[in-house]
Amino acid sequence: MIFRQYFDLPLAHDPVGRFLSWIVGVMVFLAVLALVGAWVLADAARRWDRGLAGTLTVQIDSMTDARDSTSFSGSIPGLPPGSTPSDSTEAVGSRGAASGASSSRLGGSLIPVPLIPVPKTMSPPVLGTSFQRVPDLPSRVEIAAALLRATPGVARAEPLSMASSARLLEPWLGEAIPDDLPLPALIDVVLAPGASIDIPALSKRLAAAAPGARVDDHAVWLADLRRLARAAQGVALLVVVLVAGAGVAAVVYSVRAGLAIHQPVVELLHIIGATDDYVARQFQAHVFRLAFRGAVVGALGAGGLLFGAQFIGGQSQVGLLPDLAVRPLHWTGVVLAPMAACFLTSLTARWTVLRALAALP
Amino acid sequence: MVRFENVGVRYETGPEILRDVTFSLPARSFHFLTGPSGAGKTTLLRLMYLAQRPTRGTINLFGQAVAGLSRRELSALRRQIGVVFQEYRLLNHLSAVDNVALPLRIAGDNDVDVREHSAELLRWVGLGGALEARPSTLSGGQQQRIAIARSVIARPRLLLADEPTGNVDDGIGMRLLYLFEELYKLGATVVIATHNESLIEQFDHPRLHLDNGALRVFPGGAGQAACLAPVGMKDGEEKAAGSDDGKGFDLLRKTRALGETDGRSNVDRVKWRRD
Repeated sequence: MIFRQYFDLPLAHDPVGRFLSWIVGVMVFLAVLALVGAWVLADAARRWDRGLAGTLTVQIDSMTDARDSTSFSGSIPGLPPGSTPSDSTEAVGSRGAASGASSSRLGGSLIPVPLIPVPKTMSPPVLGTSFQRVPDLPSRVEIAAALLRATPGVARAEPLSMASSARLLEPWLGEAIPDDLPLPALIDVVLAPGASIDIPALSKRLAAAAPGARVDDHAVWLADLRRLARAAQGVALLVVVLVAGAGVAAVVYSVRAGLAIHQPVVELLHIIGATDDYVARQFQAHVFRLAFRGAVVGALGAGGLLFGAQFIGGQSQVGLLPDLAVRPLHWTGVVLAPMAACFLTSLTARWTVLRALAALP
Repeated sequence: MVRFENVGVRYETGPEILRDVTFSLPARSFHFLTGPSGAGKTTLLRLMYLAQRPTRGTINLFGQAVAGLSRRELSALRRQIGVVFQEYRLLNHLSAVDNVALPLRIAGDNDVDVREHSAELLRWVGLGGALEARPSTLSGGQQQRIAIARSVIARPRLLLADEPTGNVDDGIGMRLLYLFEELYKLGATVVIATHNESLIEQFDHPRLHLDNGALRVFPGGAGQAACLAPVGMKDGEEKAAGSDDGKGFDLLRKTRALGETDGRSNVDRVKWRRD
């Protein structure tokens, strides 16, 4: 009955109703983008979660000097002494160990390189003081990997080759990575299912055993990422709710205006025996038609925009962007949003008319 | 058929427009409703066609107390009432035949039958050549006939007309009254509100006279006086008084029968002429 062709009420000629198609079109356009955006974010968050939950990454700084093994630290247990005070002074002084970070000159520019932690209270090196030599990077990687494998709860600890590490930087630096770039070594750690590891304690032990080693606990930034994704989803859903609310308000206004314009006809229909449902159906069908037109245009616009964005995203080689591809399932939003809009607007029209007609005897 | 008991109508805090109106109309009767302007004729008619509720008192239509009916039941009741408005109230965006068809469409009748019956009724009132004409392109008399056709198309048990002769000259007014009388003879209960005394005097029907919100009943000729049933008449008695069996009447079928009886069409009988 909603597609009934016969209209007793001349609603099609109303100037008030014409803007409804435009409003619904814009609403559907925004709703589709917000809805698909929320889904894409949720999907991405799930993928990040799946990929990173239960894993750690241990990063061991190259400490440039590890190539010639001339870097020194004030208190590294378990490593053989043999450094000279002057070497130590130069190393600590040039890297600002007190601040915990320093710069290493590379290709004419300064690149921040984390240093081995040195107690701030450490006195300047004095001849005769015992200093320990820092092993080279591969040795420290082996030490750290061995320590990790021996840690309860660690299922696997695999060092990444330097080539693999370099590939991780390709999106930022391209394929031609300079040889003298002090890349850190990475150890990919997989935790046993349900394992709970004291990360701060593990970090301390690693730093002590393999100077320059840091634990990158994915759970920390994954939690931030989840919060961000949830916030973005919340904003997207809020946009959908606001858009729906604005659409409902527009329909209520439009239908009330229609009722006011056609009050004599509505009264006549009422007097000659039309039920409230009969009158409401005509408004409902009229609003449905207007909303349908607008919704189709809005959905096509949003769909085109998403398709274009995906196409451009696919063409782009920029690896900095997260993988936010629109999956086939997400395209259902382009269909569902206009359907929901038509359903919501026609129901709103019906409700508005029935409420108004209740005032008639 | 129609029973009002102690009905009063007041708009907000103003004086009562109608006071203690009590009357009963039997089935298949014809009454004029008269009174000076502002006496409450239109209000009384609005109460009868259920466009308004009384401030007090009770109204019974077709044996049912109106106050206790649901909205859906009230709509069903309204579909048994035909109304001719003084200002016609035709829908100008619809053709003449669609205007006439409106009550049938509302009742949910088949579209093909609706159109066929509506066209036939329009031909009966002399507008066979104006089926697709918009009301705004027709004369007042033609519009009046469309309004009358619309009011009777659904075979109403109660036919109400508010000043149907108010916008037409006496000649056309007389023809209209003849048409209403014919509908009454076909089985409808008819109430015509008018202040045209010269026309009323030509008919021998009882009169409901409203003055200052109070209703008085003046019987017509001796033969018609019985139509004005005394207050307190039972619904069963009302039914016995009229020939309406409760199913309304088949206007078109009976119209044909009347036409065959004396060899004249009803259009001839009421001397309809195209305006």
